[in-house]
Amino acid sequence: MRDLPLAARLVILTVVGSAAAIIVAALGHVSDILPVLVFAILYVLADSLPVGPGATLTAGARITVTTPVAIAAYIVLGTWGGVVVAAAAVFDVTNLAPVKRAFNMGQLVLAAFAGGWVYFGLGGSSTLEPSSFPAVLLPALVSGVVYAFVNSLLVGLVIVFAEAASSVRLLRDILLRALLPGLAYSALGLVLAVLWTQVGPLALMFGLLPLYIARWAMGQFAAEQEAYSATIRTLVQAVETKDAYTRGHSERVARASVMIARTVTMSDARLQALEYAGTLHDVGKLGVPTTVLRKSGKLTDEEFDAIKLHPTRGHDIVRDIRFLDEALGGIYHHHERLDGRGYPAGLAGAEIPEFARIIAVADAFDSMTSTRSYRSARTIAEAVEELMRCRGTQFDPTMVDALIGAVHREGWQAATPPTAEEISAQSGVLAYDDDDPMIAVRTSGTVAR
Amino acid sequence: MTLTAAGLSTPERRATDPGLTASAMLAVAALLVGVSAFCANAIFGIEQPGIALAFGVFIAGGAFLRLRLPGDREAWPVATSGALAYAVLPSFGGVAATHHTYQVVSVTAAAMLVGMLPHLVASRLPALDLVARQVLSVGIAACAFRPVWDLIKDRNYPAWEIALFMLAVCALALLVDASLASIVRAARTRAPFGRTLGDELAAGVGLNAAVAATAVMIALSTSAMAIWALPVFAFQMVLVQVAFKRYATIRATYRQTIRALSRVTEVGGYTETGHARRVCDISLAVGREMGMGERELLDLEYAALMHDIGQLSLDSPIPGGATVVAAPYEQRQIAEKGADVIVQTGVLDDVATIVRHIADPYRRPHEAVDVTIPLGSRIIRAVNAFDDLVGGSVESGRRYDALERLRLGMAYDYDPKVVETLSRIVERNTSFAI
Repeated sequence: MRDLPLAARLVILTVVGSAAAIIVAALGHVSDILPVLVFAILYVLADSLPVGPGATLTAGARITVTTPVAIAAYIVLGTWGGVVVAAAAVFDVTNLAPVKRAFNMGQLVLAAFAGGWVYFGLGGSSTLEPSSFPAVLLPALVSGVVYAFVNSLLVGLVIVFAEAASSVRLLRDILLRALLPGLAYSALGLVLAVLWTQVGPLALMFGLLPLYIARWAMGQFAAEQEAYSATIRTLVQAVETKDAYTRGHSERVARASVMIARTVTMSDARLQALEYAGTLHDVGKLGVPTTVLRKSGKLTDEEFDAIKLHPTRGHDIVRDIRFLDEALGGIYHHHERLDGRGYPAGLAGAEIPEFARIIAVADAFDSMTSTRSYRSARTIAEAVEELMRCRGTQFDPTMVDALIGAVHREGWQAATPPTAEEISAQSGVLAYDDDDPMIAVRTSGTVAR
Repeated sequence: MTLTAAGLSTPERRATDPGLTASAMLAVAALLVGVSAFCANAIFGIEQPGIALAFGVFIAGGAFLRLRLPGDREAWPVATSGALAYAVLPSFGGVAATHHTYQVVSVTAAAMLVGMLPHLVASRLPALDLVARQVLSVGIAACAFRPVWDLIKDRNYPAWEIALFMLAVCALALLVDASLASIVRAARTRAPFGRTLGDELAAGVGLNAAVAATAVMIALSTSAMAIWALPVFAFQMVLVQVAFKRYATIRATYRQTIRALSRVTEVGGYTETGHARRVCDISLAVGREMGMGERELLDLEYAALMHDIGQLSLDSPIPGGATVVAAPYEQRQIAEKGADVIVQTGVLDDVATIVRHIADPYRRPHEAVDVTIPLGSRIIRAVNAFDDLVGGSVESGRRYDALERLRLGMAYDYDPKVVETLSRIVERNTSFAI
């Protein structure tokens, strides 16, 4: 509390203070205590059941189970009853600091108060009979939106003041994001209220089960996704054991690609696909005979052709993975050049898929900042300079700028050079790194070193 | 509920496929039930057509939203919840629901066919199993509820007792659906029925709980809210469906990726083209027939696909990638190295254990059968040897020679039960089309 700015502290104090006043008033108004108590207990239970790791459906919109219960509470029990139920949030079992706990309760009480006030003000009623429909729908929906707005606004205010974030845009985002959940949860709250008047507490069990199951499935999804990422990372590492110098290359390319994509803004799903594409971009290198990869001395034209086949081979391996649709283009075309002199298809400019343009830059950057058998690692500054030199001819300027900006902001953990034992453990060394833009000549058997 | 085995996942393709027979019988039964329900409606007319239409639209919309679940299953949770709600509907907007059992079947069947039309137009094959099971199980729910409800509706039972009765009816219907699905699956894959039923119930428990709870809620809340409750539940079930779809998608991606990466050893010239996939498909057929559960089968599948990954550590490939001709010491090295790689994922420990033991004989001289060797390892060991010897050839002579060689190794190398099952599968199938 002490380390919060004054404005944030004022907001918290106001919220908790006015909530306390409302609760005192509510306690005086509630006459039938039993249903309020039952509702409050179920509310706390619903709040306390464990949340899986993946409770978010899309960015920001969490599947909460308490909001519909709170809305049902003020519909069934009246505004004052609803306030008392919301106040039960103070018994939340999660490990919250006292200040957060008090504020959380306070904002939920204010939201329930506002929601109930709007619901009954617009002519809503606690007796829900066939004749009350559809008249009661409008008050219920509007009150739910108000509930969600108050809820998000109060939380948002504290965030804005506490982190001194750019307030107007953040608040607008918060309110916009509250609109749809507000509508959905108020409709569900109304249904819960109707069921409550018929079957009592059983209503909440029926009503919340599907939401819990949805949340559970999201948790399963998150766990599976994590397992998936871990698996492809490891398998790709296994592939990389062919060469001590390129160890960890795929993972770093994936990381750099994501850094670029974050800068040029990309949806979460595409970001995920790009990360996989980055991880898998060199999987076709396996098709290149080890003897060629590790050959010291000049490469023949045939050997060059073998190396140039690796994007195609990689594409062949992963093309059956349906989910990777966009990633496939990224893998296949990651050696294209903006001026059209790359391979395998010789695409130019915007013909090259966005993923491929990103991976190309990330790939070159990691290659340059890693040690190779024929040279030591370049510094980040040297690599940036080289990227700038090839900006517009080999690489997409947007992606180059994005990577340089991101490396500036977030820093870059370059590859650690292989130890002497690791090098001596393998029978040959990588003589030629096709990802390295400093190797200028690619068309004949001579390699500029 | 609505889980089906779609497509032939085993390499068995014969004219008298018992799986097809089971599906056909199911379809005929559903057709009979459906047609008689339509006839009854044609003769006696439609009761409360407005309500029928409201639920019909809900079910049709749900049937349009098909969901693919892990394990080659299909479901349409929104449609199922709507159909079950219509089966156990006590009243609608304050008016007692008077529709009969047969009308539940007609509305469900008609609505599902309408919902599938767009898929038909896009020439995506409809899951006939799914429709058939749905018609039968919803019919059973209606039979269990509507006549009873006609008897007891004036007796003023407490609402919560009625709600629990409705829930029990929905649970019964979903159980029937799961049983029908496992009968078809058992016939199709030659797995034991008890095992497929267990798998079916385990795979569907979460989604089925949501469907049953939603069906009861729809039926109860429409009695006061009439049609206004339907959009709420449609939204809620779509939310549930989206969550499950994301889960199913990542599971599918996971499988496809392992399958794809299994070709890494082929591209690297370490193994023959298609070897990993053939070993995988045959191993799965053997595992299924030996009664392995779905979870174990998944581990078996991954282990079979990645069983040669340890070869990447070899300096030079074994001729033709056939580990069966490699020295036992080398075989063990490959298995160990492969297992070490797989362990590093941190999430595939069981798969790693299977791969680690592939090079181990199932028993050693003068010793009892080594029970620490997982069944999966024994299966892959035999199937790998078979494929190394046959190499995807369809020539029956080579296949019988290979089987004969496995039989000779039954004393120590190959588990006799595995070899026996493998022989049965090989003799049944003229080719393994991969």
